[in-house]
Amino acid sequence: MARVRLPTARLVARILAAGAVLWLAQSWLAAPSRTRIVVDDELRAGLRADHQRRTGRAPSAAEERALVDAWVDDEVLHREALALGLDRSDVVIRRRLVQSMRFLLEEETAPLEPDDDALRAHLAAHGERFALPARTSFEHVYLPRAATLATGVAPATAPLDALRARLVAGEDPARVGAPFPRGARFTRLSPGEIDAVFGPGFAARLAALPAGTWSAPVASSFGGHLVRIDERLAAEQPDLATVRAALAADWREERRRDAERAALARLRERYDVVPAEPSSLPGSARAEP
Amino acid sequence: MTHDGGTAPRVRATDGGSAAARSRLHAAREPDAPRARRFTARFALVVLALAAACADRATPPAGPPGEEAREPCADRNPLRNLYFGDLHVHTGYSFDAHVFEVRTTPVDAYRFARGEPLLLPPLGPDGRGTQELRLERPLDFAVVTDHSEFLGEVESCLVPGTRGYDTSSCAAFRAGGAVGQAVFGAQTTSPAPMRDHDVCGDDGAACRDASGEVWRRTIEAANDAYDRSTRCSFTALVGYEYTANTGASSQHRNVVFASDRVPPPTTYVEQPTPEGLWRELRAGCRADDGCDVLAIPHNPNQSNGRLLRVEYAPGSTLDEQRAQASARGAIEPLVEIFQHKGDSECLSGLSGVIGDVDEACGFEKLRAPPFEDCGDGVGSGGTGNGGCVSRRDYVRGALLEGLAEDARLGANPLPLGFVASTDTHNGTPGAVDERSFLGHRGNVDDLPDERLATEGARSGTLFNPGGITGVWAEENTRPALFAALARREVYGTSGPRIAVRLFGGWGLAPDLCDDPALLAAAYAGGVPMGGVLPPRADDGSAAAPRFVVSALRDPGTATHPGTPLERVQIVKGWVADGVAHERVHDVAGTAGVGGVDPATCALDGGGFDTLCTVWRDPDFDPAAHAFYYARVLETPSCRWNAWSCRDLTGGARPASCDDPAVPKTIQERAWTSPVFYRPPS
Repeated sequence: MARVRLPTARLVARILAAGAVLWLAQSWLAAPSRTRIVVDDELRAGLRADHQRRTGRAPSAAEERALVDAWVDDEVLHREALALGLDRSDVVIRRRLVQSMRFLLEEETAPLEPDDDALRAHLAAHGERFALPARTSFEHVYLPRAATLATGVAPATAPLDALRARLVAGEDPARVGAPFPRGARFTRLSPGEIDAVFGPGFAARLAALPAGTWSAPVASSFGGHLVRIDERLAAEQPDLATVRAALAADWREERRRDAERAALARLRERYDVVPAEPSSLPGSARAEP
Repeated sequence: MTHDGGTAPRVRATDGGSAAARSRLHAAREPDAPRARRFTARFALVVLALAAACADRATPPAGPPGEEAREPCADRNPLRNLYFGDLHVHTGYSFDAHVFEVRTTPVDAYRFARGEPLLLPPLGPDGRGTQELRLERPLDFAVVTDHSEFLGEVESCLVPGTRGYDTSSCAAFRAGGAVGQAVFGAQTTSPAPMRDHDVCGDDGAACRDASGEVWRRTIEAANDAYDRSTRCSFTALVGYEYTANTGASSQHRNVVFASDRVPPPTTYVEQPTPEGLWRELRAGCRADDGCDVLAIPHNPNQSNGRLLRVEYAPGSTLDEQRAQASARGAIEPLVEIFQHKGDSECLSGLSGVIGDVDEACGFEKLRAPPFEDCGDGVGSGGTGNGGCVSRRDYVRGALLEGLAEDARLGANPLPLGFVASTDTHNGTPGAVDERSFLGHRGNVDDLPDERLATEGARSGTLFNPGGITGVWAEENTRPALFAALARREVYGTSGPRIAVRLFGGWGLAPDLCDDPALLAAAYAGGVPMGGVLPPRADDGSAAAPRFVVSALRDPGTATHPGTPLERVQIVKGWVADGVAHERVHDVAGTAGVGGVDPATCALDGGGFDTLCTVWRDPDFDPAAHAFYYARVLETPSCRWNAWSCRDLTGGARPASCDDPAVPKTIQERAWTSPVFYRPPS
């Protein structure tokens, strides 16, 4: 009958001994690391370099002892704080780690270059952000508010209606009204750009004027204006070539955000997010004040 | 040619983690093969980018500097339009912004300039800002000017796996705050600056290489934001800040380019003198390559007389000095007269200038008496608001020094026009509204208590939201804006969008303000701000030059009506027989015509919508070099701190809200670039 070879007692003893040695070694190497602080040459060199950077010279022997001492104090406190789990309750540390992880995720997601199809799709989806606003071209004749004339430093003017009569009669607008430092002709400005020059509400007032004729007086932040609308362009969707650079930048930014979200979603799959069990302790379910 | 978006993958700024953590993340998610493929793809893209860069260099440029392939602007105007912008903007790429939790990029800054919202510190638990800010009126142009010095160090410290990432320097930098700032920043005050060799290697090459990638992203952001369509709605120029702080005196310059054909940034570490900066710019930025460049010295008020000092090599001949003066004047035709660190126009009572006290100089001053006058010398400690104060720390004194040199040499080393900026370190160009000031430097001043602090030399109440620059240009393009900057047809404001024209000439009509065609007449018969008066006719037809100033108040916005104008002044400076003089003339408007209630910030309604006048110099001396600039004052309005305090009551109200030593009102203003007069030689 075949004899099954059983491990000899000697072998068992060897295995046990080896295990014991390993265990001892591990506990000697790992467990004491909680209470053992090693000050090695690398650490000393780092502290010396820091000192040099801060002060412009190498530390003396006494200073180096003090640096090591301070570092050891910090290390003791750091380890005690970790042992107490303070890192888990500190919002600053949590924020910092969350931030670091977000940056790592972003790093993961180097964006590509969009091709024309991708850009066209992006334009179709976000047309409103790249649309050309409505634009208006006009000429105006300026008259400061009467109140400003009291001091005698602003130009004397005739009433706006009389000026309008001169314009309607065909007089050169460059000979009518007061000088306006920003000029008399404005070409293809958006409503926002018009209001930035003339003050809030001016673009809306222009929108109500008929084109091609000198208007009744229109108020701005500076006084009165007679306006002739020369051109109105409706808001429009741009073609790809016009907005390619802006579109591509926007596309890349969106891809980056998408990728970050996707990476976060993948990480989330590792977790079960569940509502807390209702506690049996009275009052503990109450919202905190 | 144009550059659409970059081809190399973008490396994001990261702040934390480690190479080991990153590789664990990779290992957890992906097998090795895709990693290798991605590396190959990245490598291929880098090669392509390099090839493209080489191709750029090899392509002969089509025309003069700044000329570019783009559509013509619909609103091109030979009488010149007004564009508002910010020439001094930092983002999280600047070492001294990142350490204060600023995480904006140039892309964010340009979006903000164009009217999109931005989230500012304090950061929330998700690492994003918690205060939203948005410009009510977008800017027409902006230049992101991150500090060139440590672009590579910042990048290395934030990207795990780089040689610098795990060094103690980078750890200290990432820890942030004032200590983090000093890790690299201390080098800007050293007369012999060095790169951190743990982070950058013995020869600094690792950081210079890393800087190249950041610079590429900076250019890409500007190119992406630049509107090349016929609308010409926004221009992003390419630039950086050169950060010389020798003696803890600010000698910084913003370097602004005419196009995207630019050399790598010059830094204080490699070129610790302004001569080195100019030399490197001239050598690296050549018209043949389609490059043109200006350097703009900024806030001389912290320079202890150093920033605008004129020095020549010992033993240099008059001819050499003349050549130097003229070269300096060509590359530095502008100075930043105002920014969040206060006013640099003038300070009465400094030695070496004869003139009456100018009461309007007491505006947004960082330095308060008593302080030592530098006299003709220089001092140290200005960036901490210490050391002596020089007349050259204010542009009026510097202009006078330039005139004196012009009289001596026949060349003016300081023919300075004016710009104003924010110097925001939040990436918020043009955020100059007093009512919505949320600070300018990350978590240093993101809370009302910090901004309203009065203790210490850098107390929050000394600062202000900063100013903007107005540019008169034919159209809103890089070449047109750059040309306007170079010819100084630009002006600064302390924030409001005041529009102002200044022309000088011998034959300007005295009734020009009644002429609706003033602009055409003034361009035909005179020179605009920044110009030099042509020689006077010999026929005696004009004894003295005339100047026309025409100004419009800020038109306001839907939420704020803006403030009316009070006065226009002409500031004249001249040098006669080697003696410097200044005189301020009230030429239009009325002192005290309007006021404000500092408790409610309500205006009393007094003031002017527009002011226009033609003024002739009553004391003209044809033998004396002179400059003339216009200062347009608004009626008093609430300073930002009064707006902040208005809504704070009880325990939330800091002491400075009720401290009479902290000004509650200001007279906001615009300063035009000067018109210069040079006697016939």
